[in-house]
Amino acid sequence: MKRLSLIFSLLIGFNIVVWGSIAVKASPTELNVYFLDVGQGDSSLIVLPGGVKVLIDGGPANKSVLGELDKVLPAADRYIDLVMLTHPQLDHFGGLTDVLKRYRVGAFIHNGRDGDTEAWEYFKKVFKEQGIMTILLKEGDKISFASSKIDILSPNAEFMKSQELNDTGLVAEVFSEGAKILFSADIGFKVEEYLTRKYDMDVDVLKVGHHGSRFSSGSSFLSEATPLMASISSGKNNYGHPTPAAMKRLSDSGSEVYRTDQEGTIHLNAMNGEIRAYSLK
Amino acid sequence: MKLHNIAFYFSAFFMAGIALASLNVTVWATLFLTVIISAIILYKKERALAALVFAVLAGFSYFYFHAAVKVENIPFGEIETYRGVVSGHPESRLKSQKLNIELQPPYSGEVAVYTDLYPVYEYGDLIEFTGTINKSPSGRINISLPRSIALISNDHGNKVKQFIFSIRDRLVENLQAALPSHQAALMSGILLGERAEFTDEFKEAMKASGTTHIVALSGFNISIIGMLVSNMLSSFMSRRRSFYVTLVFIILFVLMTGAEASVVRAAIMGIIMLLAAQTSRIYNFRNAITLTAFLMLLLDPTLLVFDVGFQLSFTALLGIIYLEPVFKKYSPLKKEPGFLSWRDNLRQTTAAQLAVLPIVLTTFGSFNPLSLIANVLILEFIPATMLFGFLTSVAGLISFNLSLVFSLPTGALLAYETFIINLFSFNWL
Repeated sequence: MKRLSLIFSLLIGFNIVVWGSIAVKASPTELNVYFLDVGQGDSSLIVLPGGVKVLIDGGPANKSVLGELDKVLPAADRYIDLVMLTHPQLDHFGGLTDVLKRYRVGAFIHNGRDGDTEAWEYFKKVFKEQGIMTILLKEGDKISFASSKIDILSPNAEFMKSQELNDTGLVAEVFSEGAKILFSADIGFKVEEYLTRKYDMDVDVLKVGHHGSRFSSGSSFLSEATPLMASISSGKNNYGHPTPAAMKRLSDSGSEVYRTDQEGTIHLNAMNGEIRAYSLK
Repeated sequence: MKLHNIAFYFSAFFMAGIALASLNVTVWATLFLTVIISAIILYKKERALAALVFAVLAGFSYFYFHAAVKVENIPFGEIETYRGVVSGHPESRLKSQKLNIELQPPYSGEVAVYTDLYPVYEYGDLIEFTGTINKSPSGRINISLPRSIALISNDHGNKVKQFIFSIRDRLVENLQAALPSHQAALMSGILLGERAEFTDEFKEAMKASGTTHIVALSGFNISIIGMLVSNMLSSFMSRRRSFYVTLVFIILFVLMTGAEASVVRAAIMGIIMLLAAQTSRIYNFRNAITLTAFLMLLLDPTLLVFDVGFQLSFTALLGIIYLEPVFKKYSPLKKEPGFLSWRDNLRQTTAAQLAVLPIVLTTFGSFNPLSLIANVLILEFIPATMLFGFLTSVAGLISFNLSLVFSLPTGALLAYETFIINLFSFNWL
């Protein structure tokens, strides 16, 4: 009798828990973007209207991305639809090693270029072991979901062959809820100029290229892009990122500049063409 | 004097000697103390006992003897290239990886090597690194932050250990897949004593609230798991049978944590504690405990003063043996075990907690009177947390979705415990 009542109460408990979690899982109808504070590196999470999650890069090898994802995702949510790696440098894929191990991931997107470090070999081993579907994207490819879309603007075949890994970075432009957000990986002047020549680069929000390096965010590019808001992902480093030169060009372009090393994780919320920014520090 | 009494007093005085040596008391002070005490006892006409007091000197010398025979050949502070095998379970911390490396000739000794998180090295890897080795501030371990490190080859470890570690890794990975990272870190701490992924803020909060001991794997934790399992089982089967099932459970648990020396010690203590909780004959345990402690200290005399897990285990054991019967006699609680033996659980955990309190308060952080309340609020939920955490990680071996179901109550309990820890650390002020 005792045993029976125990089993019953456990079963009822599980039912409440399982159905409850299904019922609570209402899909958001707005666009949320988080520039995660992962130290010196890049990591951004995009949650499209409808709840599709796209993680672009995972920051350096310090597990910070896990703690930041804890803060912005519900505790029981262990799934990320798409994980995108812009280019195989440690400050971009380091944290992804842990993300791929700990989250269920729908598909892994990268540019197909190989890194040349032991840490990269280990990362490759992990995503093969996890059996995650891998997709190679390049300039001209698109990802769309409901009324949102993500355009890949770079690299083209020529940039892919570049000796400089930063030229091979996947540049993604997100259109959703009337907002246009550019994720410019670690690209420098060369790719920026190519983009300004080829595309209408006018954007609302810019994830600043290469942590505010002085060889990125050129004046001509910024005068085309004219972002209302620019976010710099950086942390303690020896390169002087973000550099005063890049900071000046950004503020000259009339953009409001936010830095993850000062504001912590930055949360953008867009709905019907209205964009709000919050610091999660 | 009876033989078992001789054994008891000899071990007790021997351990006192080890304690004096570990506390850096001088030879002359020790000698003086021994003679004085012996003289006092002789005056009371206890000749045999007076002679046994001299075991203090044996213990005192044994401590130094043991330290002297430990071989170590390391050119401290000089840049060298070393080779060695990863000899323990590597720790993947938040920003670095910690490897315990057993050096190979021409050098010898153990070194804790800190390196980048990736690539990940494994138990049994033969590694070559270049850099300096230095003593830690406490002087008890050797540390190196090498300039370069490379893998030479795999599989130089013990095959059984390798297998056990791989199971442990799977279980931790299952926790990490099913729980948010900070909760998975706390759960691995409670279940396996692993603190690798604790943030500095959380470590500080645990210290300030006096709750660090819940993540220090000791006989205390193991006996709590054991007691919980056996009390629950005993409502379905006979006491004797439930004891054996629990025994198997504890052995599995030890294997799961990697069967390192400290855990094996804790398990032995846990089993003795379990025996103590089951029978009410106090007398037998005096010798059992003393001899166990004596044997453990013969293997490693530094445990007594420098190993908190060892201290917690023994004091908790003393609490269960000597305090619990007092509770049973005087508390207003009914004597019946109750549903899932909750009354027994309550009495035994309270007894153990009270006994370890002085150590907890002095070792784990500054004294905070409110930590008493924090501990009461948290400890009652630790057995349930352990149970659900364990189920979450084991369920993950069968199905990820099943482990997600168990992760919900686990997550709720961990969230509550994290809340209490932060609340009582006053880091929100």
